[in-house]
Amino acid sequence: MAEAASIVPTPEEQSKSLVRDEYVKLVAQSDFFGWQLRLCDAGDYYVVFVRIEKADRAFVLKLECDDYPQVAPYSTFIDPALFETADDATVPDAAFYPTGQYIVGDRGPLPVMCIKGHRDYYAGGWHGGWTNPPAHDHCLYQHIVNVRNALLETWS
Amino acid sequence: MAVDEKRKPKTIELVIVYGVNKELEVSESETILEVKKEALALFEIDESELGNFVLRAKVQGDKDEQLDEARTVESYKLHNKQKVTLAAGTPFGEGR
Repeated sequence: MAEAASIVPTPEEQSKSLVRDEYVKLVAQSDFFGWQLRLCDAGDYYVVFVRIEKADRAFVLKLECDDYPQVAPYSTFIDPALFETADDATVPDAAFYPTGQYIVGDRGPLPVMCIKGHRDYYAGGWHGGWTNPPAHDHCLYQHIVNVRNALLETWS
Repeated sequence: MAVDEKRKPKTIELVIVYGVNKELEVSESETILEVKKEALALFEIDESELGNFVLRAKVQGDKDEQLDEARTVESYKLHNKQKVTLAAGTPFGEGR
């Protein structure tokens, strides 16, 4: 009798599976945290969009999860009006970033959040702490919780 | 018949939010720090990471806030089935 061929997932499939696991946690807490989510399949990787509203303004976080968790997600902000239609090609825009303490403006063309769990936070040895698998307080789910809390309490 | 009972601290069940929800039975006399240790164990997070996390809950109105670890469950009037979030304590980088 022929043995069933074992299917070995590609690194990209493994990465997408781990992002899906994090996304499931985010969906489970949507009501509690009051965010809206979209998961966009960009082929080899996922892009997660998170819409977070505060009294006077809405923000949409774009998280490009290529090679997660080998590499931290690339986390930027896009025009909130594009939330429903955004995909991997949607360009981040400095005009839609929050402002305040821990938003740094001198590290490139876009502002950078000085907050754990995204690529630019660790880039160029700015901070340490990214590991594969990520520590509990650096993982994708926790990064989004952290950004949500900062938007509501620290940034405007 | 009069029964002489010492008042036992009441226990309640909190819902700890950390990706998934898990229920945690606590006594009203426990401190938030004690609850945090139990919450970490619930999610199999090593106690060495204690300082990396805080507990947050909606205490007044709709806005959740960080709970003071020296205070007790009772002092916050946390109630049965109340959601308490296990969150990163120091999410921001240093030096900025």
